[in-house]
Amino acid sequence: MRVALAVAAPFVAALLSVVLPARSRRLVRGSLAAIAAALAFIALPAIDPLSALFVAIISVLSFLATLYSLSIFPTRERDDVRWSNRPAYFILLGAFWSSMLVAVTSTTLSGLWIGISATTLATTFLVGFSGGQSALEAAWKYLMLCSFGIAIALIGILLIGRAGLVAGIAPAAALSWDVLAAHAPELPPELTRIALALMLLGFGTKAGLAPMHSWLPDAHSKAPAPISALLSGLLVSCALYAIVRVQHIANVTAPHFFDTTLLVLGSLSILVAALLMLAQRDVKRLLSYSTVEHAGLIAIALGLGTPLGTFAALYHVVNHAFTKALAFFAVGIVQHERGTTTIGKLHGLWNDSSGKLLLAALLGLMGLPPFGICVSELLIVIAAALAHAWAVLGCALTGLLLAFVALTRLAIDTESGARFVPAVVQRRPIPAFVAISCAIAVAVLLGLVPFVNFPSTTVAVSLSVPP
Amino acid sequence: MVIAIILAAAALLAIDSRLRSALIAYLCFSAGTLWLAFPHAANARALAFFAVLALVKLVAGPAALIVLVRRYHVPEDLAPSFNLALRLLLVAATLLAAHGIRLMTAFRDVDAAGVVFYAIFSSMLIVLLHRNLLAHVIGLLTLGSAITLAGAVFAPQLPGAIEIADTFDAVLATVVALAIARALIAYDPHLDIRSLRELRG
Repeated sequence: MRVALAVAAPFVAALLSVVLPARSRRLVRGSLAAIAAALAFIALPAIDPLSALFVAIISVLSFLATLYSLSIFPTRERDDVRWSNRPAYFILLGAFWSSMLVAVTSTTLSGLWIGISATTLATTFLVGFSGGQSALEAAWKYLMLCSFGIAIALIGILLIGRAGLVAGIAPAAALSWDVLAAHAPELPPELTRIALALMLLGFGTKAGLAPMHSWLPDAHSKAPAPISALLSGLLVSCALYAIVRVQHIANVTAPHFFDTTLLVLGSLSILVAALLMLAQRDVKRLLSYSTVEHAGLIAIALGLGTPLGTFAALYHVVNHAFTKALAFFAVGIVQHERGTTTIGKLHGLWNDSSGKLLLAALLGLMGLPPFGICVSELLIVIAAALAHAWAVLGCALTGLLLAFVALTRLAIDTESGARFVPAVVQRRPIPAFVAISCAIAVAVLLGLVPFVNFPSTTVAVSLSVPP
Repeated sequence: MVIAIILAAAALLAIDSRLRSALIAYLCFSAGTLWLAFPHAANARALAFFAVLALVKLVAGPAALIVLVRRYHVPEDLAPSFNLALRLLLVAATLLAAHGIRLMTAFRDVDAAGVVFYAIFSSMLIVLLHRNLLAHVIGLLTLGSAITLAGAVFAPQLPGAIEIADTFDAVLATVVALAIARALIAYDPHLDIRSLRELRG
């Protein structure tokens, strides 16, 4: 009951906020979002540690994105930022938040699929929200590629369900990952392997793993800034969560096959994304490719198949979610103030508070202390070395180095130069600055206290124990 | 007989370049898959989902497509990307691939496995072989029907969750894809995929 309430709360809150009087709408919207996030935390004891970790990240970041969206962005600006005062935007945001919670609180593969599929329903409209040609193009590509991807995952789920039925599992429990993992030795091996491969392909598409990543840079860069933050920070994480759940079954049935595929996809993602980061001319697109790179890094950590690798992967999911959200939030304000995200047209950002925040986010994404990404990347490197996965480690280090170069160049190009004087003094988006401050505080805190009471420890331990 | 209709309709969808005949082929394909997927011994909930699924796939989806074409005068040519000979060759290759999968150990005991995979591959072919975005919507709807068939063939005993998922998939294809297509008409009345080349992935 508590879980159902927590899942429904964001969408109901968004619907409620639309019917309220216009004068108090922003305040009420913020309060309702805070209540929705609080309800999720109340539900945490009723769900398993892995789900709890993802519910916590989703709730905090979605609340921060809602808070950010409450800022008043003038309607005379470019299409890309003309979203903050539309009711449909908040309804879709609430639907997105709720559907992610459905995905991570479900205990069956079909429920997980429905949640992830529902995110497509909400986010396609959010990606194309501005109605501009390029935004609609991004929305179309996102819809087509992700729909086909998750349809393939659904076929995989059907096949694993069949494997469960063949193994004698009752139909009602045939799609539960715990039951499937418990009966793993009895599952027909070839059918199970095909099902696992299809699920990895399908959820991998949604996670933006190369070579199925081509929708991601378009969709993430064309969405409004807070939605880009959620797409990069949370949606990719939800798809990776699905892969972790599938790996739970694969750990017993076909560990070598599944882990090797993950390592290959992860290595390919990190290399392709890092190379493409060097060629980008738009800040949001560069950050989107950085998401592919980090998804690849997480896939590598998961593919190592060791408790340390799993812990590092989950820790990196959390760190990446907050740091990437921080980066997109900061870019949103830069876009608001300068009217562009083209790298060649941005200079002297260091003189503005938004530029300083963007620099902080870039330092975090580079993997520098005191940000949490520094610790989790180090853990992934150590886990790969301990697993003697030297080829994968080489790919990961090469990718990290290239990404570091791309981000450093971006920081130098945009932060240096003369002070920019706007033609019209912009109104400061205060709630957006509050959201960014919270995101930066969490991103740094995760780097300073990485191992204190961190739920990932429990999760990693629980995953490392054979069912 | 039903399987023959599904096979022929899937081939026609991939080969033909006219919206009208593609829609008729899609209706035959979906009606065939729904016929095979009908939950004979199911409960009221399964029947309700099946009814919604049938309504979306056989009525709402095609009706929305026709309304869109008539209101915005979208060309009925689905703009094939390759010539007829090559399209026929690809359909034959798809048949062979589906037959190859049917021979795998995992699917040896499933009679209609080849038809399921042929249907899935055909829905992908529709998207790959046509430039008109409406063909892509039909491809998405066809994929949904192929999944309905997969559910009925591979795991008919599974609980209603699959039917929910399937219904959701159909709604997604119909509502979201057509809404975005409608918005794109403002920029390209021909709805040609070549107009979506600004971002390049």
